Order: sequence, then C-alpha cells, then structure tokens
Amino acid sequence: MSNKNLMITGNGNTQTLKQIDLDQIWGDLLKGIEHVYKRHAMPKARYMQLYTHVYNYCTSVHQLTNCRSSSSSSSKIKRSQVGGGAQLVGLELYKRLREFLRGYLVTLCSDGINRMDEDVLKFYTNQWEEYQFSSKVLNGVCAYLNRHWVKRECEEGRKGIYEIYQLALVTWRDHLFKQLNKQVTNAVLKLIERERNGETINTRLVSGVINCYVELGLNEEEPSARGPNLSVYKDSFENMFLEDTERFYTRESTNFLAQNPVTEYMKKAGERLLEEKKRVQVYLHETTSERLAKTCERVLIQKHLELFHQEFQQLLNADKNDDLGRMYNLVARIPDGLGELKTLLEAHIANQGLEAIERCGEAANNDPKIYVNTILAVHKKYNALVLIAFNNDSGFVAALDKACGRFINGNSVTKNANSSSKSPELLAKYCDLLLKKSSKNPEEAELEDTLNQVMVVFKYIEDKDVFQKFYSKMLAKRLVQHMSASDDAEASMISKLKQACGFEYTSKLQRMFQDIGVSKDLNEQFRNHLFDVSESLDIDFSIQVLSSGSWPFQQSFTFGLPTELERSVHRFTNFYSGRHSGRKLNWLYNMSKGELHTNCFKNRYTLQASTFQMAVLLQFNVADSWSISQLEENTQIKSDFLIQVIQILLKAKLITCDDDENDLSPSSIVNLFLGYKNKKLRVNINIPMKTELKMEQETTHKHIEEDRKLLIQAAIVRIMKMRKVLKHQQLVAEVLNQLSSRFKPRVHIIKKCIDILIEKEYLERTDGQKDTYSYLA
Amino acid sequence: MPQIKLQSSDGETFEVDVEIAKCSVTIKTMLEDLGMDEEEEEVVPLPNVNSAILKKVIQWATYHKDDPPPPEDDENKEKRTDDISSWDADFLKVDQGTLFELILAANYLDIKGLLDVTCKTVANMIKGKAPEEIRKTFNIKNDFTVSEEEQVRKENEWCEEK
Amino acid sequence: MGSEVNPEPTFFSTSLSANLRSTTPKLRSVIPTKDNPPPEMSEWLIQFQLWSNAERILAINELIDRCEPTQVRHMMQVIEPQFQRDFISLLPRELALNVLSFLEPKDLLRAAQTCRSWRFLTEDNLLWKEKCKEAGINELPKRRGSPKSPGALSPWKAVYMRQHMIEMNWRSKPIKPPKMLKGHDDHVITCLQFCGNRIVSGSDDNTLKVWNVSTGKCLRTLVGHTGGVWSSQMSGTTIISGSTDRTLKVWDIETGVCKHTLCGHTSTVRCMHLHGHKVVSGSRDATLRVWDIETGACLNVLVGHMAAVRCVQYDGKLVVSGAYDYTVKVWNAEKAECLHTLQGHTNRVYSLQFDGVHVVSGSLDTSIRVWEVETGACKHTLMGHQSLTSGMELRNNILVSGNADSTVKVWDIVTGQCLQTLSGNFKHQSAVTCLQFNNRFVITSSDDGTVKLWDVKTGEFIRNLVALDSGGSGGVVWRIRASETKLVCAVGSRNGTEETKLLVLDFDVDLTGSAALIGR
Repeated sequence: MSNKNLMITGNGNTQTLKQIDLDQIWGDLLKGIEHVYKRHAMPKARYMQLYTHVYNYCTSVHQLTNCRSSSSSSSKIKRSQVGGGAQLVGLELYKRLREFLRGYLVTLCSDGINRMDEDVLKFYTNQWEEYQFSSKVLNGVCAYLNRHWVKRECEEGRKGIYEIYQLALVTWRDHLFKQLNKQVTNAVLKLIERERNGETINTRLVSGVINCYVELGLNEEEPSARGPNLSVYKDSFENMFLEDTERFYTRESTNFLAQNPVTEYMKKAGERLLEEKKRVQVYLHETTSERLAKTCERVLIQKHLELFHQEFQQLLNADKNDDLGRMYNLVARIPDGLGELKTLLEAHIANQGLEAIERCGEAANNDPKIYVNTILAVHKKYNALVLIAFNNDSGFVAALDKACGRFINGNSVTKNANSSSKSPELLAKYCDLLLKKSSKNPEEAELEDTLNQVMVVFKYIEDKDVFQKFYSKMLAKRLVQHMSASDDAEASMISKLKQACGFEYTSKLQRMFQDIGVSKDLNEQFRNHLFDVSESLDIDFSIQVLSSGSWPFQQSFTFGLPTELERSVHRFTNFYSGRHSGRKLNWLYNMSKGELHTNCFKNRYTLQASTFQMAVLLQFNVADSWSISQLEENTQIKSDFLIQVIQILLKAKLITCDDDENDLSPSSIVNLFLGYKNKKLRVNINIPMKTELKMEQETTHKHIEEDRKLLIQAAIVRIMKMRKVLKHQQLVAEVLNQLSSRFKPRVHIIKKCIDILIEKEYLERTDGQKDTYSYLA
Repeated sequence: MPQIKLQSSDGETFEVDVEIAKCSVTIKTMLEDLGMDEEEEEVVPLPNVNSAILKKVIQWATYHKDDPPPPEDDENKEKRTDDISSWDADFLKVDQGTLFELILAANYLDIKGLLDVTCKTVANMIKGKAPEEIRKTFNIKNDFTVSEEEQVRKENEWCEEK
Repeated sequence: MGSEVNPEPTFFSTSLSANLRSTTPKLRSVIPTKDNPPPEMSEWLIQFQLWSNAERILAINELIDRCEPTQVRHMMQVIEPQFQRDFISLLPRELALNVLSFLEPKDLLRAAQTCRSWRFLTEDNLLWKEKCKEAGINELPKRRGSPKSPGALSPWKAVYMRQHMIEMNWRSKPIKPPKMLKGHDDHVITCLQFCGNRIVSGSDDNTLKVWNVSTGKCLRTLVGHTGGVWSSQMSGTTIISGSTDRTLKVWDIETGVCKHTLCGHTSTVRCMHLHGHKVVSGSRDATLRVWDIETGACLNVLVGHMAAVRCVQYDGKLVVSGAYDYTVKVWNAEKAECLHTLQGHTNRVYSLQFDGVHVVSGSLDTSIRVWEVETGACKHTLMGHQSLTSGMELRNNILVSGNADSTVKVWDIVTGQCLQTLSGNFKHQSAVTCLQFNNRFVITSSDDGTVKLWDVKTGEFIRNLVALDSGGSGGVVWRIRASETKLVCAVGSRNGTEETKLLVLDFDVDLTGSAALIGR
C-alpha cells in the first residue's frame, strides 16, 4: 500500500498520476461500509483507510484532455449541457453506494412489512435511528466524493444526485418509508388517540417517527436550500392527524354539550386547546401548531358560536364576569368571531345606562349630581368588565364607548327636555356645583378625582360646544361673584378641557381668568390714585374690568344711576381712560351689586342688593311712598323690569303695596315698610329675576345655533379652498368629520350654510354637473 | 488540552492538540462520527501525507488555530488573491514541488484555509503573465500545432484590447 | 547492497531507457548526441545504477567537483525544471479548477493559450458561469449561441465575451453615427419611453409619437390631448400619457387607438407611475388618483396634499408622493389612507425614488432625504448639492442624483455617504436634465447639449456620448433612456438652434462579423 502514498514524486512534469481502478478499492470499502451498517465499533485507523480509498479513487488519473465526450456515455444521467465541462471522477462509486443502500433497505423492509401497531413503531424508530447514525458515518467516509464530484454535479444542474447522507435518506424514503408509512402513521395516530383518552403513552415512539418524517422532506428541486421542506411530514402525517383531530373533537364536544352547561363546556374547551398546544411542543413539528389550533378552534368553538352568543346575554345579565372572560378568550381565537359579542355588549350597556337614568326619575332632570353619578356608575361597571374580562380589546372598548355615547346623548332626561343638549348642560352644572364655594366642597385630591370623572362623561358628549357655553357662563359668574372654591381646581379643569378639545376651546375661559387677576391690581391702583389726589368717594367701591368678547355677558340697558354712585363711576372712568386711552368702558349694571345699610328699621341691617334694587330703595331716602310711575321716572328703569324689581322687594317685605303684587300698575303706590324684621342682620335680597333667567337660557341656546352656523361655514370654505371642486356628499362628509370634535352638525343646517355661501359668492354650483360645487376664489 | 496522535505515511507520529487537528475537517468529521475517547491512545494514520509535509501542515494549523471559521461559500463574492497574509506568504516561500504537495495534503485533510491560500499562491504565479511566460514558469511543453495555436490566440485575444 | 530497489524513479531513468533502445553502434561524429553517445557511457551509467543511495550521492558530489563552471550551470538548467510543477495539468481536476477560479477572465484567456490541457480546463463552463456572476451577469440569454465565435464552447464564456465587447463599445470604440428621428417640430419633448423595439416620445405639442428603433421610422402619432403632454408610462404595447388638459389617456401603441380617457383631476396631470394594470397619477390639483388602466375606472382619490403633486412612485401596494407643500406622503393605495407624512424639506419636493423599504426625496431646498417607509422616520439628509435635485435613480441601495448645479452624485443610502461626485474638468456646463445608471456606468444628460458617460465605481469621466454642435448656444438634451446596447436622447432647443429630434445610438456587438471585429 505504501507505494500509493504519494502518487507524484520525483520527475516533475513528466510524471503521470497513478490510475486507481474502482475495483481495486471497492472490495475493502464495501467490507468497511457493511461494518458500519452493522453498527460495529470502528477504529480511527480503519475510518481513515476507508476515507483514503474514496480519496484515492476520486483523485486518480483523469482521462486526458479529450475525455469530454467519452467516459460516461453509458451512464443513465443525461448530459444536458454542451461543451466546456471538465468531468470529475465519482459516478461509478456513487452508483455502487446507491446500490448498496438499496440492497440494505430492501432486506430491512421485508423484516418490517408484517409488523403492526406498537411493534411496527418500535421497529421503525429503532431502525431509523441506527440507519441515520450509520449513514452519517458513511457520509463522513465519502466526504471527498461529496465535496467535489457531487457538488459539481449539482452545480451543473444534474437532477437526482445527492450528498451521500441525502442519498441515504432518499433511498430510505423510496425503499422503506413508501412500503411502511401507512401502518406506521396509523399506529402513531392510534397512540395519540389513546393519549387523548387519558392513557399514558411512550411519546418517544411518536417523536421518533415524526423526526424521521421531517428529515425525509428533502428539497429535491433545490439541493442548495439546506433543511427539509416538510413535504413528507405534511402529506403522510399531518393531514391525517388533523382529520383525526377534527373527528375526535367533533364527537367529544357534541357529547359533552348534550350533558353539561355551556359554562362547563368552555372550561373543558380551554383545557383541550392547551393540551393540544403542549402536544405539539412535546412530540410534533412546531409548524403543526397553527393548523392544529385552527382545527381545534373550528371544531371546539366556531361550530358552537351560536350557543355561545345565546349564553353571552345570560352571562351579562347575571354579571358572570369570570365566565364572560372565558368566553372572550375562546371566541377571540375565531377570526371575526367577536363581532356578535361586541354588538350584544353595546346594546346591553346602552340599555343598562338608559334604565339607570330612567330609574332616577324626576330627580335626574334637575339634579346634575344624581344625573352624572348615575352615568358614571354604569360606565365604571362596564369599563371594569371590558378591562378585565375582555382584555381591554379595542373592539370592546369601542362598543363601550358607542354605548355610552348613545345613552348619554339620548335618554329619558334629554327626552323630557326635548333636547340632546340637556346632557352637556347638566354636566356643566355639575361642574359648577363642584367648583362653587359651598359647605360641601370636597378635599383637593377628591375634587381632582371627581373632575377626572367628569371628563369621562365629557368625552362622550356630542355637543361639546353646548357644554362650553354653559360652562363659561357659570365660570363667569363664579369669577365675578368671587364664588370659586379654588383657583387651582378651576385651572386644572380648564387644562383638562384644553387637553381634550384643544387650545381654541378654552381660550376664552383662560382670558376670563386673566381679567380677574388684572382687575385685582387695577382696584389697588385706583385706591392709591385716590389717596394720592387725596380724594375720597365716601363709599367702598370696587370694579372688575372684563374684556368684551371673552365673557358671556350681555350689555344691560341704561338707567338713571343713583347719584350716590355716579361720582364713583365718573372718577373711575376718568382714571381708566387716563391709563388706557381709546378703551371704552361699558357698565354691566345688571351684574353689579352693592350693600345698603338701613337706618330706618329697628335693627341696623345690611342689605345685599342689585344695582336696580339699590336705585329703587335709595328713592326711599327721599320719601316713604312712591307711585310706580314716579319710581319709573326717577330711576328710568323700564317698567316691566321695574315691576319685577318691586315684586322682589315686596316679597322681601321691605316695602308694601295695597295692590296685589301680580297686578301692579303705574298708579300703584308702594310704601317703605318700617316694621321690617329679619333674623339675620345681613340680608341678601339679590335674587335673579325670572325673565332674566329665562332669557339667559334662551340666549345661550340661540347663541349656540348661531355659532354653529359660523363654524360650519368656516369649515366649508376651508375645505373648498383646498379641493376647488367637490360633490355635495363628499363635502358634507368632510364637514361632519372636521367638526366632530366640537358638535354633530345637522345635515340640513350644513345645506343651509352652503346656500348662504353660494349667496355670498364663495361657492357656485358647477355647470352641468349635479350636486357639485366649485370654489370661487 | 487533549491531544491526538497523527501518523504520517512514512511512519512518523506527531502529537497535536485536538483543537489544532480539527482544522482538518476530515479529522474533525471522523472524531464526530466515531466519538472521542479521551483515554484512547489510538493513532490516526494519514496514509497520504508524508512527514515533511505533515510537519508543515501542523505548523500552518497551529499558527491559524484561532482564526475565525471560514465563511460559507459566498457565491457572489469576488475571488481575490491579493489578501494573502505576510505570514502565509513567508510560509509558502517553498519550491513548486512542496507547494504541490501542500495543496494535495490540504485537499486530503480538507483544510479550506490552507487549500485556498496555496491555490491563490499558484494563481498569483499565473496572473499577469503572457502564455510563453506561463509555460516557462511551470515548465509546460507547448503541444499546440501552429494552426491550433493561431486559432487559440484568436479566440482569446479579445481581452487584450483597450 | 544493490538488491534493494529504490521505489523512487531516478533522475536519469528516462534518458537511460532511451539510450538502451538505441545500442546499435553508429558512426561516431565529433558532436555526441542522444542517438550517438560516447561508447563508454552506457557502462558508466549501469555502474551508477548498481550503487546504493549513499554511493550515488558520493559519486554525484565527486562528479560536480570535476565539472567546469559552464557544466555546473548546464547541470542547474537541467535540474531546475525537475522542481517545477505543471499544477494545472497534474493536480486532480477539482483542484486545478479551484486554482483557475482565482484568476480573472483576462488571465484565464492567456492561460488558455499555453497548452492543450490548460486550454481544456480554462474553457470550463462552470468556471465562466462564476466569472459571469462576478460581472453581474446572472442569466444566459434565451436565444442560444448568438455571437458564435469558433471554439467558444462554453455558453457562459460566450456571454461574458459579448458583454465585454459591448462594454468596450460604450467605453472607447468609435461611436457609430446616431440615427436621427425628427418630429414634434420645434416643440419640447417632455417625456420619453423606450422598451424593446419601440420608443414613445411625448411633447408639449399635445401629441405622442411612436417610433421603430431599428428603422428609425415614426410609426404613428397619438393625437387627442388638448393640452401639452407632461408625463407618460409604458408597459408592453400600452402607453399612458398625462396632460395639462387634466386627463390621462391610455393608448395601444401598435394600433394608435386611445382605449380610455381618465377624467377626474381638476388640474394638470404632472406625474404618474404604473404598476401592473394600475397607474397612480399626481396632479397640480393636490390630489393623486389610482386608476385601473384596463377598465379605465378611477379606483381611489388620495387627498391630503396642500399643493401640487410633483412626483409619485407606486409599488402595487404603497404610493409615495412628493409635492409643492414640502412634504412627502406615503399612502395605502387600496384603502386610500395616508400612512405617513414625511416632513423635513424646507422647499418643494421634485423627485422621488422608492424601493419598497426606503423613500428618497429630492427637493428645491438642495437636500435629498432618505426615509424609512415603515416608520416614516428620516434616516439621512444628504447634503452637498447646491441646487434642485431634478432626477434620481436608486438600485441596490446606491442612489445617483442629478442636480441643477450641473453635478451628479453617487450615494450609499444605508450609510448616507456620498461615494462619488461626477464633476471635475469634464463636468457638465449646465443643469443635469436626466440620468440612468447600471453597475458599471452612469449616463447623464444636460442643458449644455451633451450626454456623458461616467464610471460609477471610480466616478471618473469616460467620454461624451453626444455633444451637440449647438451646445452652449441653445441646444439641450432633455431626456435620455438607455438599454444595455442602445441610447435614446431627446434633443432640441428653445431658440431654434437645434431642431427637435431623437438620437438613437447603438453599442451592440456587430453580429455579422464579431471575429473580424475582434481581430482589428
């Protein structure tokens, strides 16, 4: 053997390579290979010897240059490509190895063909493991053949040539697997069914077969793509396994449901799904996981969806949150399965909300606190349900939101008021309750919490502009009348609104705040000024300067200002115009108030009165009785208004009249009631007049409608400026979309606004095209 | 560090760290296939490598033992020959006969790094040379007939034009 | 002693056997030859063979001692080749091929000329397949054996050779006089499409013209638009055109029939991009529209830009649009929703490229931005140009940008690095109008009336492919389109110095006599 060691020595280029014939090495090589497949131990020296046999054969002399056409003409493999191919040595060896493997497996097969069930599994998995091991050794021994000859054949695009280990697999597939796979797969499926029925099985028998099937999925089309393609596993096992699974669970679920309630079934189904997931992990291929889950879900859940839907309503009615959670988890696995549950939930919450409000009865109409808290209680309950049982699923959150939106914007209270604006009004009033000074003002932390709750409801309010109107009115009053419980709380609420609706929404509210601050300084400066010029007004006098436009107040009519006040007003007007030339002060007498000290009664009372009341009362410094026409002349208050003032004073028993208070005429005489008595020394007689209140409400609503029209028109112009031409439907849709954060415009109003804009020549109807508008720049 | 005994064709035995010996994929595969018995004093015969060459191969493998594993055959990578390290260049300053045998040994033992660097060295000996210079370098006899040579020249001269 | 036969052949064995065969005595001439050795030599040699190794070495040493220097030198010359190896012929074939795989094509061709066995191995088809791959050729052309040069049996080698010769035609061979395709009178050619054997030019004269590339004939004029044509797309025998008349038209170029007129935009259709049977158009009305060109239906309107849409890209799923509102928008074409608004440019966006992962936008603010389409994040801002980036091309993360500052830059959009600036002594003298590149060349056209060829890897100027005589005095190159072997240029002028026309340059290998061409 030693003379083979170095085939080229000595005489340089004139030396030729030694030729080694396949027959020279095959005998010994075959002996070695048989040794390997008998699983006998092999010494390293022998291994190297076998490797060297293969090496020597493959590197032995090549037929010289012109060999390109000769040599393998006898081979079955077609040479498809012409020209330029230098061939390597290996084909003959490859064919003999293939033949050996075939022979080995044919013999093995005859041993296994009659075995069944666990016996065949044991045989198959044992033989597979050993064959796999031996073939790896064979692959190592034939490494040189793989490295060059096989590689090049593959590169040249030859089909049906594999690395030796792959060849071993292909041969196993063709000569053993094909004959045995039916009984093997059957045995595996039987074993799995036994496990599903609660028996303990030898899972290694299953995983052994699965490993083999996976390995056998050779990528024959693309030998370069490493790794199995699972075709064998899918075709010969997975499909049947899934059919089996479907059959098994169809039977089981039908039987179980016939004998048990749905709630029990849901527990069982959950367990089974978990079990199957584990099954894949323990002994199947990971890719089965998805298909298996789909199969189980179809049989265990989808088929029974109707039953689930029926049960869902029962569970909601009974507040069975755990069961609801279980149902959610099951149904969530089915694509689009949750739709029905969402619909049911939405309807349920909306009904719960409506009923809760209805249950409050009359109280809810007028008590904002009861109204808001009722809404919040419903929201809180179902928010918790969605969060915990429904995993905060966005679809269920949406259902909750829709339902809340529905019952908050339309319920028995709004129906009574005949206006969806009742909700924002009550909510704003609730805010006023919370923020106005009172004996029941909550702690700061608690207040903050409550305000957050308010925001929850606010989110659902459609007519956010209505809320804004009422809120700003009440805020204005709180500020002007110094009734705010806490500046911090006011600021916090405004910042919340700003966050929810943007800067624009709260800009006026913020201006109001600023005005109050500025006014404080202004009073101080005015006092200093008076001191500097050493003048005294003889009365305490303070003012608030409110920038017009930011405050929701209307100009009051003029009247004859009592002389006692005139000087102060005059002084201040001069002072102010000296500081801010060009600014005009309008006096809101209707918002003003003052204190009068009485000297005519038994006790010295302090009366808190409106400016109009003061004007009337101060007349009694001149005489003890007046006719109404006289009073009207002296005070210059409009008569219908004056009568209301008189009525309040009559009610307060400060004056008396012989005529009935509801039947006053210009000639009626009123007298100062010198016997006036009151338990308190400070008496507030400044209660709002009926017409004032009513007017206020009406104007608020009227303003809202007008503001809306302006907002709608602005939106239309904005949109059309960009689009130039737009169809009616599209325009309406865009307007609705743009304004949705403020209010829900009604379509007929939008139409009206479009007409207004056409009239103003912002838009025109496009000629010849129906329902299309063009923008006029 | 475990050792392994390698025996050359002329009977000389070399004791080498297993990790170094595993530079040879042939040896590595064998150890994986057969399992490694630490105790065993079994000698691994390498019947196709003589002691002079085996010595050089071990020298090379020892120097390169900490090299990162060779990258998988990247089909789209351009083949370069100007990236031979100076150590390898020095190591391969040998006569053509030795280089020839090193190529065979690297191939037999499946040491990709050594096979590449030796083949590159031969390629560099061919590069940039005219046919006649190539013949001289490797002592090749021109066995073309005159007309054959003319035809081959015509077929292959398109690369020369600029 | 002596009985042991050395298994190694000795240095002299061959000459010995030759000698033994010719023992018949001949007339001794003065000069000894192999056939006419000195009579004592054979005995001398037989004696040498009988000695042991040690004896032989001793004898050689003694022999050398007795030699003249010239004889020692001779000895060296004889011995030296013994240490040489013909690796390629002697190594197992797989190893010889491995050695050859490290050679460049040029060296392979030279090696082929050494001897028969080298020639055989250097013709190996797989070897040339690998060389083709390195050169970027990944497929064999479908028609077999087109440039049939004798003996080139390897199809891959033939392909490589053809490619090489075409490259030389572009680089340095004399340029054949271009075909001139005159039309569109003195109007501007605004867009150009070139596919297979057809060219379609669009013009502000309201028409498009269909040309036959090989004959240079105008096959037909597509008449129907009532305003200038400013954009077009082509696929197979369908061309789509966009016009200032606010419509798009779908034409069959083989019949000249207008199959659909797509109405809906309310202003000029300025850009479009075709994918499959859907085209997305961008208009000065600030919207984009998605159309089905088979049915002519408008599938969607993409509304959101605040100003004219100038450029659009569409990959069948996502639409990317650049507009005069300084933004780039990414849309889902099917749902008509805007997924991202890419903000950052501080002036109008004029050009876009989109490869499914990156969006690249060129703007009048002189910068080019690279965005991630998935997140909408700006990955890089490419700075360096001085003016408007009017045209770009992106392939395999390499971006080439043409700028009104008369330079062209090559960028790596992954790192954001500028790899090359195509400028220098031979740079364009005026704004770059159009460009195209492959893995070897960049071709650029300019208002200076030239078309230039550059090396994409080194950034070097190679040569002018076109240089109009009227360049500098009004002649401009508006648009170019190139295939592997052909270049189409739309040229003309605004002042009448250059007639509006198309130039077609051919760089293909001369099929009739490739051998003759090589021989020159």
